[in-house]
Amino acid sequence: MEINDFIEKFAEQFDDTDPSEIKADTVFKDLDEWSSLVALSVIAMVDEEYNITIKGDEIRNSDTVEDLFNAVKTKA
Amino acid sequence: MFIDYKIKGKYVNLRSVEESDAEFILSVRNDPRISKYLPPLNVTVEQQRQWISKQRADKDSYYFLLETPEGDKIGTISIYDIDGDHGEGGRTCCIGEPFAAVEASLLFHDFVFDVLGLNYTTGWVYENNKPVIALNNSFGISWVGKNYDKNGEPYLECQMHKEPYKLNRDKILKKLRIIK
Repeated sequence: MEINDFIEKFAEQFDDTDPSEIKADTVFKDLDEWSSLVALSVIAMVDEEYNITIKGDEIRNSDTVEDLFNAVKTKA
Repeated sequence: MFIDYKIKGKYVNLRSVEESDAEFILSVRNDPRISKYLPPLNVTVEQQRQWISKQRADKDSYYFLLETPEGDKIGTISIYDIDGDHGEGGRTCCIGEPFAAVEASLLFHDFVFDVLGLNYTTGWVYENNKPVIALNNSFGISWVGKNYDKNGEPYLECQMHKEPYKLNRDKILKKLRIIK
């Protein structure tokens, strides 16, 4: 798993947010478009792309995109 | 009013609140994760029980408990002040998984528009509650005004109309179905 690849796929889950706004250190819950629907899309993306199941707690306990990447990576 | 059946989803079920839910409702409404965006309830369990009893008998509201398919209580959602073709949606909170919150909102709006036959709901969201504002945008909500609560906190007034909801519903449902 590569973090740049993860960031790109993470950014694809937003409809209106400029992908360039999303970096490893982005506090994703501060993004205007962040919602439980985007969280759902992220969970689905991780499942589809990495065949890893994450739950709301892993998202809740992550601040940055990199935190979430690391949480996913530990389950790989 | 109440319904005597469960509105079933894949990740969450909605059923009418009962007097025995009073303690859970107080605990969830006073949970800091929720009371940050929804006014806490400053009543006793017995007072809440009596309030639920009264709500079940009234003619212009439905109050639902959100439960996982395993029966864990994870939140509430309600439509009240039903008047003609509209009502106010609120008392919405969910401490469960994000997909349960999204599905609960879909089940709720399907009930409001398809079962009750309303044309729109009104509501409000604190301006700093960005995740809920963004979620409502995905559902096709219209923002119609801004006001301030008694503490000076700004909140946005909104309306959810049946047509834009229906346009967005299937797209949201499709995302939900991806989750295993």
